[in-house]
Amino acid sequence: MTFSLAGLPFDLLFYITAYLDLDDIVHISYTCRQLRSNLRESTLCRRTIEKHSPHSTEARQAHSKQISYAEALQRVYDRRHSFSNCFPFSARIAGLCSAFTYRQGVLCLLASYKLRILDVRCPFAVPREIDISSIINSVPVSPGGSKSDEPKLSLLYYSDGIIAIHYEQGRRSGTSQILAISTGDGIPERDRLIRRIDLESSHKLFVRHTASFLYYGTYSVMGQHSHHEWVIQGVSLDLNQPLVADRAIQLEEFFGTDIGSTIAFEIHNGHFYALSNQTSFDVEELDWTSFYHCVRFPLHGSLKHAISVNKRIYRRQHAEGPIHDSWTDLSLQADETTNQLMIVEARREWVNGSSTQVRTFYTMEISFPGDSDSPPCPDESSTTNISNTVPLPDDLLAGLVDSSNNPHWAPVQQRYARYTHPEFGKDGGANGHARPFTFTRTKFRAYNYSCSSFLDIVEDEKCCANPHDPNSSPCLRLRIGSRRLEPLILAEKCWSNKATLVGYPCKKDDDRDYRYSPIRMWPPPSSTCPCAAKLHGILNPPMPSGSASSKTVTAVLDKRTLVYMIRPGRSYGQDESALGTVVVVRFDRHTEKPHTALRHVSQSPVNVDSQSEWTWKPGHASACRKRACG
Amino acid sequence: MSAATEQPKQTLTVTTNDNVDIVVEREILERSVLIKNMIGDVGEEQIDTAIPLPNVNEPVMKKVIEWCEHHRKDPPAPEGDDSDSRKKSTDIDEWDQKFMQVDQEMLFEIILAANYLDIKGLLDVGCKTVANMIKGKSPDEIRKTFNIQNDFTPEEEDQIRRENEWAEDR
Repeated sequence: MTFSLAGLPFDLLFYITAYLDLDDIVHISYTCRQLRSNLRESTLCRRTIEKHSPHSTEARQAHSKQISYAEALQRVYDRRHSFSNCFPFSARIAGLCSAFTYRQGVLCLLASYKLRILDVRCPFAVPREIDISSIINSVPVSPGGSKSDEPKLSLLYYSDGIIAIHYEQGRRSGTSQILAISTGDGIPERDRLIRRIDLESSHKLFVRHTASFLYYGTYSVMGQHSHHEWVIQGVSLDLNQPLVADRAIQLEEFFGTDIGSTIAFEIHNGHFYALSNQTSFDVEELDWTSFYHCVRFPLHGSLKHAISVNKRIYRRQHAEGPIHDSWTDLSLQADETTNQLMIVEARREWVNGSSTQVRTFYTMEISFPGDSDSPPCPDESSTTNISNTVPLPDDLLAGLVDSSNNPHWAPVQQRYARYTHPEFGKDGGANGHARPFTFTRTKFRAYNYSCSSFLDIVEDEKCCANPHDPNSSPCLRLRIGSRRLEPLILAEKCWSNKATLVGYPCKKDDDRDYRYSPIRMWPPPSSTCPCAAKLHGILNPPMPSGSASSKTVTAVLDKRTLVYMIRPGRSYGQDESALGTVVVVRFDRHTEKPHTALRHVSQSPVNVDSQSEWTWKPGHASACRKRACG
Repeated sequence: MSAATEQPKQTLTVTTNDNVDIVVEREILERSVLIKNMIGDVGEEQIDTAIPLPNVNEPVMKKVIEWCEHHRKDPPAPEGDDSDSRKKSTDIDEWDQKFMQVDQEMLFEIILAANYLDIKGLLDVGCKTVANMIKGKSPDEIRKTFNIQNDFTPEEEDQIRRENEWAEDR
């Protein structure tokens, strides 16, 4: 009798899989029927989810018994695989609006004074409509403004059934308010307004909130160096959880003004986080090292001793080469395994001063001095006092530092592969022939930490270009590149039953190499098959106001969904509130019942016809080959 | 055995399923919890009787004994550490890595024997080795590594696996 992996008793398979990642376990289950049925056993799936993805939505659904652990495992895998392979499960046009937010699976569309709330995870549910005109009309008009000025509304943030809207009327000394409005089902209109916050300044206004607390920040307070600084203020949205009266926090010497490129704000795990990748307000003549600056404080309770600051999270050495700042993207993303918030930054650099630029996605853990589980941080005081105490490099220029300088320096830190994801793979070789896109053709950029993949929305001129049609415009397409850990032992080295196992290149520090996927584009050219043509129609919806030569794309990406709004490019004197079309691309498998139900109930102003939505179905690939996929 | 200061090393005999008797030092054999308990059960006086091992053949048992001999002084495995999420399959010492360089059939037989004989340390090394052969591989690569036949129908394959056939387009 010969023994093989498929013939192992379940308890041994259970033992072996304890050492494997979620992806590996699913991959084994894809090899044959026997292993598939063994690996869908619920204790094994539960252990896998709890070990590798305990903080995912799927894990929560499994804990609350909405889905089984086997389903949870499959869904986590599906969404990661679908994303990293640039092969979504569905795409559709969600509607027209002047502004949108997307978070926690909920899409809010604003058009005139109506909010439409769609749960993207149940695409066939009827969107809920909320009329906010009475709330808007109840805002008192300030002496400076007149009723005739149309108030300007913008959507700031959505979380936990509450949407924060910025109301602004009149240019100067007008009314500026944040309105926190409940979007829950079945709430009478008069009870929807939860809180109204008057604003003195709305410069660079942003909001982050939970069900109980709302924090907003503006770049409006004068700092010590006679330039503006961020001030963050908190209010309670819950009568049962009041906040101590004054909760305004000025982020001192916290530089950077652009959310998404130089700074990021996020609420995570009961704390507010502020992150900056800037070390100074001005360019320092003499400087060696760049650090991240991170501030964290609890959402409620006393702030005394509760504000943590670390200005010395190692970022890079200036000697690594100049940065093309337009391409810098900064975000904070939670790790699904540890629930730790990670710094995720994309930088396009002329590495080591070479003539070619390379974009790299860097990740970094956040730590604070005094955190029990964090690595020891350099003494904070060393950065506050210059020249005398700051250690300087053994460098000729170090002798030139005087009191007018504010240099930063730290020894070079090793970059580990797991924190460094170059766009074109190792040494740029793996994807050397991939087509690059210019900055103006790249309409949106993001990184999905949960599956080590980047996503760009690009305007592709070569996709369906028709040389005979001067009016043909470039196609919007997704462009995704991903990587995953390379096998520990390569296939050919342990193939065949009789061959001995040679080579055992385990590295002790566990920093394994990665395999880089080719950079993929989606959808395929519309000439490929009928559904590819349909997808082009969905991803490039007709402009509401006729054809436009330039398009503006605003987008939001989370782990499982991409939502973007496309509207005519803003030109001088054009109406800012021009309507745009919102497109939803999902990377998770549809699990709801077939969409023939409920269709007739849909009151959506957008005609939900079969041309505005596409869903992957089993057998899709062969249907496309026969061009029977329409 | 002649040294007066040393206790004579007690030996035991095991009979493998291919009817081979192997004589082993008791200390080495007691790495197996199964055998240790057997001895406890039958009592010290009956220890001369050969212990039958109906689930293990001679070549495998010899490998197992080789491992036990090398690890005879190891502290007993701590109980109930299965839940430790930080355990890594790459923590295998060099001797064990070399020891596990056998053909796959032998590898799986060692694992089964270690499981049957209840030798936690050996079972651990065996399972880690198999895990390392799987890590990072695609389903196809796993099939190739373990010579697994793909027995899914095309319809089933469609249901479970989605490959982006368009992927190579640029």
